[in-house]
Amino acid sequence: MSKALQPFQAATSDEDSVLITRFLSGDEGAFSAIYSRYHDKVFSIARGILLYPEDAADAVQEIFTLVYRNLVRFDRRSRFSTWLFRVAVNRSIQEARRTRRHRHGELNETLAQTEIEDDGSDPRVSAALARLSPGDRAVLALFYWEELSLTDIGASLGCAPNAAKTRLYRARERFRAAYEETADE
Amino acid sequence: MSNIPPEIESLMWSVAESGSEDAIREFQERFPQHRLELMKRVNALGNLRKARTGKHRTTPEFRPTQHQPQPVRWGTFTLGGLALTAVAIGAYIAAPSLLRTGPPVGDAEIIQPKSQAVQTTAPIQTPAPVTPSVPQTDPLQTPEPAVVATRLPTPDQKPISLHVERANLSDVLSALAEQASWQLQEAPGTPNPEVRVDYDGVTATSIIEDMGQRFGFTAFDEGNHQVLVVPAVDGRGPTNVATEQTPTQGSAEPPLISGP
Repeated sequence: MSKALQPFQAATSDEDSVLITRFLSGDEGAFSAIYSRYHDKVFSIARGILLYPEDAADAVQEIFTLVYRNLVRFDRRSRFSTWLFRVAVNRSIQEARRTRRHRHGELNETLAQTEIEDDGSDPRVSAALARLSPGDRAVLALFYWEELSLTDIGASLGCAPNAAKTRLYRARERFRAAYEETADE
Repeated sequence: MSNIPPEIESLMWSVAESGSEDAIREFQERFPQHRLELMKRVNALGNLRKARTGKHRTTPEFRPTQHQPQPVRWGTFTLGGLALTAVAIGAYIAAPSLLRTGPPVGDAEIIQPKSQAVQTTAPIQTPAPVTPSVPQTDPLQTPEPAVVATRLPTPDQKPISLHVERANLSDVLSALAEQASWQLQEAPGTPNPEVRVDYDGVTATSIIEDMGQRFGFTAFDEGNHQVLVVPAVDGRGPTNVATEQTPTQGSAEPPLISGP
């Protein structure tokens, strides 16, 4: 994350803090503002981990429901976004492991063709991501899609920045191998 | 996994991450043999970045999901309660039988004292006040029994008298065993000196213990009224005390010969 973004992050964090305070004071509209602000990011993370947009949409609702009910427990020692992304990652990985049994028999090609072609992106990416573990998909989504720093990724995954870096490099290499295998098929 | 040196691999990933055309061109000029591998990584990362689908056409309205309350598992609680009750009842029933020790009352051996045999030898007299006989030993040395003996049979707890002027130890022990209803066995090597004993109103157990101290043997209760006499192995201490009762000596006199 570039240093130029740091003032923006500080301003965003301040706005988040104000919205949280308003919500905890009884202003329901403040939570709607939080939801609108972070919906796309949370959906992106959930989509990267769960792969299926429908599953990701359901997960987003559950994630924000968790936040809605437990925001009083947010101790503000970290940024709200970090706390929110951690909830999103944990909940999405949990859901991915739960639904993996049900999705096991489905073909990756079906996933790629039906879900990704609408976005105009490379279907092999989804096929390759489908071969990775939810944890690998999470770290890739946080780094390449949400462009979080290694420190923020570590905070979201519950590990140190160096550990996040190691996990990122391993996930990146596994993705490359899976992507090339998918391209050869 | 390609056979690319780690430093080249790391540099290649850095170039691919940057996406800079200048960096890519420079790398290809320096490492033309890895040009293809570099482009694979550039394409993979580029397509991965483009695959982000965070933009929803319309952001759906937030609707908190309803969590279904977990039904109370009354069946589990009921079964658990019944199981605990069964265990408690079983423990209540089994505990007394587990705590009962020893043989049943019907199997206990009832030993009748044979006072008649004693009376034929010597009438029972009022037991004289007995004084404990403490062996003269060094107070700093605690004498330890050489062998731990078990309790002798109980019918010989009745006071008897035994007077022998001059006889072998074996004969005296036989006479004692007859009065005490013992089946006496002497182990090989048991001393058999000529002795003189004089006991009045002393139990047979005490007599044999005292004789053991004086003449160097140990009497062992082997159960079922059988007593085994073996030579004492520890000469410095008293012979093994077969009972908790301290042997008493009425008017016993020193033997004609001393020691085994």
